[in-house]
Amino acid sequence: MKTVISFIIALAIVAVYFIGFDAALLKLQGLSPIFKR
Amino acid sequence: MKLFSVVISKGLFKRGFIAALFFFAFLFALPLLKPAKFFLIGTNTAHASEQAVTTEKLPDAEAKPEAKKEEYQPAPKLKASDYPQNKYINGRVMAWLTAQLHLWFAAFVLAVPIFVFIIEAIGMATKDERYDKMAYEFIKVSLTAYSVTAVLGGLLLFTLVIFYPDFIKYMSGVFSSTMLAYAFLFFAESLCLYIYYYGWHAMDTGFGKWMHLTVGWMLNVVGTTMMLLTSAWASFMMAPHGVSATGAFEGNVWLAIHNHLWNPLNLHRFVANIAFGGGVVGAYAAYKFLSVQTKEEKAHYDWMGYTANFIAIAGLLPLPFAGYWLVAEIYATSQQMGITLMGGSFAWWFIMQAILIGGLFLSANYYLWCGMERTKGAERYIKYTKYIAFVIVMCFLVWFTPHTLVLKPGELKALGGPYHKYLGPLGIMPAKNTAVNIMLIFTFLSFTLYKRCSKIATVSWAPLGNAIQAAIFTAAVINVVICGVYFGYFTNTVYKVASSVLQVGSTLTVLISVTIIDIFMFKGAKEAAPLEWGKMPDRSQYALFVLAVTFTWLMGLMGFIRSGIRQHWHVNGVFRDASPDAFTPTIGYGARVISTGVIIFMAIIIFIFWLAQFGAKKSFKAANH
Repeated sequence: MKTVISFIIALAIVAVYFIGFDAALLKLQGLSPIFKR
Repeated sequence: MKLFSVVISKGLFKRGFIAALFFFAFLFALPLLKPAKFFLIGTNTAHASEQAVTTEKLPDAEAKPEAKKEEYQPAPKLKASDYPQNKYINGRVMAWLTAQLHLWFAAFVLAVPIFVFIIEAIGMATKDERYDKMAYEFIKVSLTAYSVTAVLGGLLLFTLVIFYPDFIKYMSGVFSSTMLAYAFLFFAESLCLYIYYYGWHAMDTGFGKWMHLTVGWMLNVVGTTMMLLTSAWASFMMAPHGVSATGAFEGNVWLAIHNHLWNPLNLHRFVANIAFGGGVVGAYAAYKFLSVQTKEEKAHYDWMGYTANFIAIAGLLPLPFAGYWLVAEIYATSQQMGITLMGGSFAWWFIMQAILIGGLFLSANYYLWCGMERTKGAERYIKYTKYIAFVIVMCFLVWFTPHTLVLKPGELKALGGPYHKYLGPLGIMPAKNTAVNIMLIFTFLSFTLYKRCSKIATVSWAPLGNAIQAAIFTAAVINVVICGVYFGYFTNTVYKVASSVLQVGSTLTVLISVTIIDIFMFKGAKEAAPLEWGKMPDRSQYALFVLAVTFTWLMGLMGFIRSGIRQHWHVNGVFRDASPDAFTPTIGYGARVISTGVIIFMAIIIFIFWLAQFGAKKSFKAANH
């Protein structure tokens, strides 16, 4: 149970990391992190 | 000073060795003194006569202001009759095969010293003689291949001189200084290689070992420099730089070397060479594993095969990223060339590439799964391999799903259009990028599981570490899928292309972070069960053969399309190929030529393996009599 909770917390943290990571990489390529039509 | 005198007093050999070191230091220092001037010397000399003739012919008023620019002739405009023909030999096929065979062997002999140097250094640091023995065996195989490389290089040069005299004249006009440097470097490489190989046992302790490693380092510096020079010639043919619109050389060879595709090609070749070299020595280890009888020998060659497979995977993992950069730069250089490559007549070659790369991933993973049988500790993880296999196979299927099919009217009608309703979207790049990144992540997962088979982490935070690693794998796969689906199908092309960088970033995040956690988590780990080298099923060795053959085939195919997208140009856009053979071959024709090359290469490689074994048998007999 403890491991599952650790996994869920870690998953949430890594997901936040990837959101920031993706936004930063898009910004580095001169694009807005949010796509506008 | 004391150290120096000790070394000198050890004997003539070491004195000679130090003299050789100084010679090489001098050789390398030459271009470093004034690089621009060094490069310009050769070109000016080569064109001295042409320059004199041109200046003589021009009226004074014209000659003075534009003297510099008029030094070099534009690229010749050739006719079919300018290409010598041979009744029995097709010049194009001959050049194609010799260039490809030369490249295969060159890639092998450039890659092997890189990892031999690393393995030898590991052996020296850990004082484990097994590493040294393995490194020596690797370099022994590459030594025979080195001679074959040189012979094929000579054959290629003769072929070009005989069948494409104007082309080789033009190229040597632009690159004369680098071609001379290449010839000198070849001498330097031969010398380094022979000292490295024949001095292996003479320099195996103390300071001598350091000297030996230094020679290994120099061998790699020279070899890599040679690769950089040849890449300059090949990339110049695709993206000419430092020449006018008519192909007239402007006098600065550095500009011609440093063309737009030089660095992407350098990186792609360097990484691919390592993967290919690992694949070929893996085949050698498999060949030996299957042919030896004793338990000790089996253990040695099993370990050798494992190391070779590790090297091949280490090269294979970053290879798609290097390839992606190269293709992006090809598009940036010439959209026409890029579209010909991936959207035009060459697109179907990429389907074949996908099938071969899928084969590579499957065989590399299969070898790792078989390797789990070496230890009883693997029972904890072996149950997961079927899920990994399922994911890799699914990604493989997505990866080789074609976009545009060649259809008859009836088939077109039955399909309801040129694209399949459900499979059509899988034919475009976002789906391929997603599939390949997931394949890479799951191959890395296989490798991570394999590594921990025989170990049990003893650190108190091991369960947390495992949870974090699992979270990283899960989040990265989700991110790769979201980037592929959302940016690939619901935004515009700019975002579609940009999202591939996010996917690559996700994969690299997994590779780096999981490795770092593993290093700390398995520090001081206890043994779950002993790792029994040599306890491998014979069928696993055939995966290593598949790896070597597939790498070779892949290099042949991809080498052809990289070169072939110039179509009817010797040098893209400035020097037209007017020979009767300047056509883009059909897929069947091209595949037959490449496959013939693969068969010839494999036949020579098998001969080299046999030769290595033959020599070992003789020396074993001599030692016992």
